[in-house]
Amino acid sequence: MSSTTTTQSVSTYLAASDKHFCYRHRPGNSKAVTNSSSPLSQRLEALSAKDKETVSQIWNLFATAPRPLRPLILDGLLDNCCLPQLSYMAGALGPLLRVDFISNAPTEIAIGILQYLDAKSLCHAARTCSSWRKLADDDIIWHRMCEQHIDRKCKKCGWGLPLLDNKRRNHLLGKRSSSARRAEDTQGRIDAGSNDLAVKRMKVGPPEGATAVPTAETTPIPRTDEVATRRPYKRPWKEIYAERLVVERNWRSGTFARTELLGHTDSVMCLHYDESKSLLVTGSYDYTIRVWDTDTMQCIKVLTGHTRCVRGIQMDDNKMVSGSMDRTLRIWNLKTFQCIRILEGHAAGVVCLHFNDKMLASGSVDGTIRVWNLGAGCCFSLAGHRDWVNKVQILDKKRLISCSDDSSIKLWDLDTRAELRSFNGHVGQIQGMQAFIPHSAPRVDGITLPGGILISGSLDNTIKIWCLETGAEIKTLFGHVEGVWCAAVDSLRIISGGQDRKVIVWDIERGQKMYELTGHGGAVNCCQMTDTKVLTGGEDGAIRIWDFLPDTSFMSRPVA
Amino acid sequence: MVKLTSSDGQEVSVPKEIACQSVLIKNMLEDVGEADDQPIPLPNVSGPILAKVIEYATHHKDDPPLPPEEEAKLKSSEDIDEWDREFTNVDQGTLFELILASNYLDMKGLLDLGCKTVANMIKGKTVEEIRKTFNIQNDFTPEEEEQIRKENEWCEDR
Repeated sequence: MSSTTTTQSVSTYLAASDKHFCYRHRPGNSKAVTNSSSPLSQRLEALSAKDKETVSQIWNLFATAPRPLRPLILDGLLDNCCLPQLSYMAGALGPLLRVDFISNAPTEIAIGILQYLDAKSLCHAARTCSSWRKLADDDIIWHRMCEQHIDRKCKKCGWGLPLLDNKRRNHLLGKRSSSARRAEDTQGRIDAGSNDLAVKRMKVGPPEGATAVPTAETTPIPRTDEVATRRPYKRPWKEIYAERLVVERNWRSGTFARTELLGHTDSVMCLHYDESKSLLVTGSYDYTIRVWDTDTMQCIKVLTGHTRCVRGIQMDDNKMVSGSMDRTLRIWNLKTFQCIRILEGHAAGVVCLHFNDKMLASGSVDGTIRVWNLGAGCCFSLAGHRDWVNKVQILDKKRLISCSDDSSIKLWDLDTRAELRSFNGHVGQIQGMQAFIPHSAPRVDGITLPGGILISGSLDNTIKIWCLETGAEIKTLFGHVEGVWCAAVDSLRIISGGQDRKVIVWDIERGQKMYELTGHGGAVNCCQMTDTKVLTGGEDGAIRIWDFLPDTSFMSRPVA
Repeated sequence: MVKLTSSDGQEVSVPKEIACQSVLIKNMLEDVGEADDQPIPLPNVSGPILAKVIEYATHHKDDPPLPPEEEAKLKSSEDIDEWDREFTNVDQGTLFELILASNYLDMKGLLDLGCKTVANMIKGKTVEEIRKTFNIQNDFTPEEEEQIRKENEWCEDR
């Protein structure tokens, strides 16, 4: 009798006597039963007829023995074993007791196991065999990984990954109806100068035609779901996670590709980049505005009209607004690049501007801020600063924040037009400032800032971090050896540029310097940060783009 | 006391509050009513495994109720106390049966513990080490294997 029949009889016995197969003998697991270097049948055939008979008999007796008797039989056999045989048993048992939990447990249990893994272990698990791969690549698991890490710090591992919400998404969406595009823009991309992020992350009421999906500002993850429902293409969550991890690693290690845009003949004073359109606009002391295509890195337009230095610039989907020391603001058609309106009213040069849909704010050399209603064509002033207003940022329909050469930052109530609070602490002119209100409260040095974060850069060489809600000064960052001209913040880091020609990247949570980006031949006047890039404009007339996601070739995987 | 019968016919009596940590048994008891003292058959759980399950339930009988789903999700697999670690220090066959039994009996705490234990066996291992640990047959062609390696290259620390 061959061992094949032995095996069969085991199965038959189990099937007849007990509806529940054990892990090893259930149908379809032939692999585990003959888990020996050479098949049992071969070894049996090699024996003499008499020995063969004896061995088969013992096997069969055991195979037909009822379950309750088996332990006793085994105990008796073990009792007869000499030490070497027991050693043999101990060695043979190990591999036989290995259980492929993932392939054999019900799917929900396998997922339950895999969800405790980190990204690296999941990737290793996916490489072991096809059934593991299917489960370890599962969208449920990677969706959770994304939820834990993107745009927040994971409580388990301390990593946070960027949102990367602009460019790729728009590429994926391709051409959409204009109403959908408008809806999305109102929700997600009210881009606003170098100060766009606070506004961008703020919750805006659902506009017409928007789906019931929560706005991306409060919950960033569903946005991709939203994308998925709009069109059949669905990016695997694993790929989304991978891309962001690569970007974050590059940010941490300071790995980037640097590009220099040359063309301005004098200092670059302001810039605004729209990643979704690959469009960059810059204003300069040479009185011009330049429009750049960041796909080709070419200047595609030079706009003239201002009669003095251009100090503030910002665009949205249709228009661009520029402010100049010639005391005017110009509104440009972003399609034709024609100047469609000139706003006059400031008694002195315009230093900065920020707009949010129809509301435009501009700060001036004479210390006043003007708030323009572009729809109604009216305007009012906020007076209080005693010197140049260097940055303004509209926080929401009711609040605006500004910083000045008088060394103060002021928060304004746009309804009462009164000062709500003054942030005092800098001992030099404040040149750069950005408020940022992310959906999950940022932490600096273990302090949670629920109402958002405010950063400021001053000619006193420091950057300060403030609690936007209370006005409390949280931390002062030292690192620049000369005055700070510009600063920007997002949920993961701060960047700053200074007279010392350096751009410094800071870790926001620890409030520490990570590294410097060098290359500018003069002071760094203006900067903007996206999830993948730092853009800076310098005294040397050059614009530099530091791209932390230069290579996307790792995502070669075809989409299922 | 509640009487339970394992798949191999062993009968055990356990205090009700311990037996009721299994949502399956709790529901059964509610269905049949208090008066019935017939043993509850558990055809999917063998005697030795049932003994382990009762050991676990006895040790954890005074545990506070499990945190809500969302909080539980944030728990790390490293988060296992000494007793539980020792309890799950068993061969893979036993662990596998424990996981299946806790799933069948609907005992979330024990199921999570089992899953965490297996996850810890996977964590930090190379591909080959994982295959060895769980006796996994590599069923990829060399070409597939290379492609999948490339696909997952991003996770390696550089």
